[in-house]
Amino acid sequence: MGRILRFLQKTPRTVLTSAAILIAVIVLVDWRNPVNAYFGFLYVFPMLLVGTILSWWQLSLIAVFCTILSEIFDPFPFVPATAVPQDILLFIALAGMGLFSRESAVNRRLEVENRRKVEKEAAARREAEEQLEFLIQTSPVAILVMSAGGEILIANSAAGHLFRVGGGELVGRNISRYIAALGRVPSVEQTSHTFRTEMQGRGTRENGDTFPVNVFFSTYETALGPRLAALVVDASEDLRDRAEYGLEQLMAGSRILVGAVSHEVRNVCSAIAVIYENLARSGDFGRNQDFEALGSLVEALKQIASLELRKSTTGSEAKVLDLSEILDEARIVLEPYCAESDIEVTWDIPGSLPSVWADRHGLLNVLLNLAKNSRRALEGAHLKRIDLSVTAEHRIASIRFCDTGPGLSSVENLFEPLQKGADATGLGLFLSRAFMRSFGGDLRYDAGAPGCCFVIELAIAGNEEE
Amino acid sequence: MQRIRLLLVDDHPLFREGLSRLLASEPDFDMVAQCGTATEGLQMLGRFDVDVVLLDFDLGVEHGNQFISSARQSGYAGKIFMVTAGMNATQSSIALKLGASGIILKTSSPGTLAKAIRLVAHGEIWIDQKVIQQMADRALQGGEHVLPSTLTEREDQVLHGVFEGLTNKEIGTKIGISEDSVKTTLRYLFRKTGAQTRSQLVRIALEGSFHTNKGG
Repeated sequence: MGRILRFLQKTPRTVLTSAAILIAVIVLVDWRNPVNAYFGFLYVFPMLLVGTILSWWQLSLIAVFCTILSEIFDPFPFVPATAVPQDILLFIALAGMGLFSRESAVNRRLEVENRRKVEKEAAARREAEEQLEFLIQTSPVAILVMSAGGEILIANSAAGHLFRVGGGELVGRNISRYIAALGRVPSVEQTSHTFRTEMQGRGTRENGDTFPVNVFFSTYETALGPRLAALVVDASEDLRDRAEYGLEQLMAGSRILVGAVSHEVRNVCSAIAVIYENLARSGDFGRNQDFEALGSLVEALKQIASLELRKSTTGSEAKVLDLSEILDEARIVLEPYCAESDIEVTWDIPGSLPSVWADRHGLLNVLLNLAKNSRRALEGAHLKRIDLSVTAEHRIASIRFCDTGPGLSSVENLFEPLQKGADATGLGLFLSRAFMRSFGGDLRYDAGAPGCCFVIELAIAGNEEE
Repeated sequence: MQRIRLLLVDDHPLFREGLSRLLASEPDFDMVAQCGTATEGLQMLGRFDVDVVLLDFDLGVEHGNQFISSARQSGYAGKIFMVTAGMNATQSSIALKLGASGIILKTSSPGTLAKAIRLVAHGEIWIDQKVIQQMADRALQGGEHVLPSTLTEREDQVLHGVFEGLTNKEIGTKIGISEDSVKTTLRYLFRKTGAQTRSQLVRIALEGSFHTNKGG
């Protein structure tokens, strides 16, 4: 039956033709039949056929048509008293069979369609599950799924590697043994809050070694109960890298600070030494022992302040860096910082910028220091804006940092340390310039521009041979 | 005896005054003027005949190299002698390239300073030993930077270990070197790239910043 229905669904024209032929045969049998018998019931078969493809009103018309044919070609004379009820009954029977056939066909079609849909969905689900399984198993990040009680239900190979547990042995164990903090996360049954967050914690390997971890986790509900899914990353290497980098930065910053202060001390010592020499040449102090001691003290201080000169570098180590990348990072740092004070920041940066000699950390510090100064200067300003623009020419990349503040009343001692009247520590510009110079760049004030405008200069990489 | 005409440009008043008096006491020096800014210095050059400009590097908001450029552009053909409390190697190189005749540290003795000024005035070059050392060191460091995008075989191996998510110890075991050597190599990779963490290093490597020696 199913096969027939599938065939009929595909070829409605064939169905109609078959029904027409069947009706013609019945008519012929009814007409030429020598036996005085009633064959009207045979119209049930063409009705069953057309019921698979026609609508209810089309079926009604065909039932009427078949009833009329039956009445015309049956061997009995037309007697209204008996023929009319008989025809009505025949019509009802034919229409009923047609509608029954139609309903069966529709249901069958729906069933087939549903089965196809379910099969398609099952295939898609199988494919997705395979991909997900592949993704989980090949992930460099440890992936774990736990039950409400903390029992590990799924663990990929990276998780086994992370906790130093052999293949598949993690499943069934409790997560508290490996990451205690995860074992304390309440399930969705225990709290109305769901978690979708990250935390830094401490992990424990199978052999008892502990290590820092970054955990990204979420809680959710499934038909089988509450679940906790977690991605776990070993942060040991990054922690070490960051600590070492931090130390390097601290040392570099300290060298720059010491270098800058030593520079100032050398200036003063040199002035004292020159004045001392003048006094010595005047002969007024003769063999005065205090005067000679003063000379020795100045000389000793000069030696101390010159220690830093013996080092080949005075601070940061310049690297070839992508200027666009540094400016992207600066944008991430500066824009939210300025937005807190309703300061608009505009960026005029060419699409293509060269690589420069710089120290990433140092340069970002300088930009942040300039932004801090501008934020103070713009506190009472009507128009609060910082304009950053970049140009690259003559082997120098210049970052202009201008604000719409009132500008500076005096720039004479701008880059000197601990100035009187400085709003903050009085070291910002002094150190910023020292930072810039430590990697071959410079920081200067552009007196000609409106507001307050500084220019950061960086040597473009790739021109060393020139 | 022809006297050497000097112009002193230094933003430190005490040093400037003291050095002026000191040099003025020398029989063959003529201190024609002294000032504290590059702008004033350029004006003095237009007003006086100067044989040697004694120039500090730090001049408040300006620096000595700007003065040298401007002075040369304005046609000054005399000597410019940097008298500084300290300049880094890059600044020294630029100053010499722009036309400075020498660099001496302010911490030098007055006798050495006077001797150096005389030599410079007669066409010699005087560069303080510490400055030469700095420039030599910088040149060596610069040599390491010439090919920042080329990886050695070991750096390549370590980088691939990072790609595979291995720890330093695991990388060391895999390629047969100590954990410390792995850390040193990684530090060097960080320095080459400006990366601060492994994840940054991976990104920079994937962006094609490196060319490995074995095409890996």
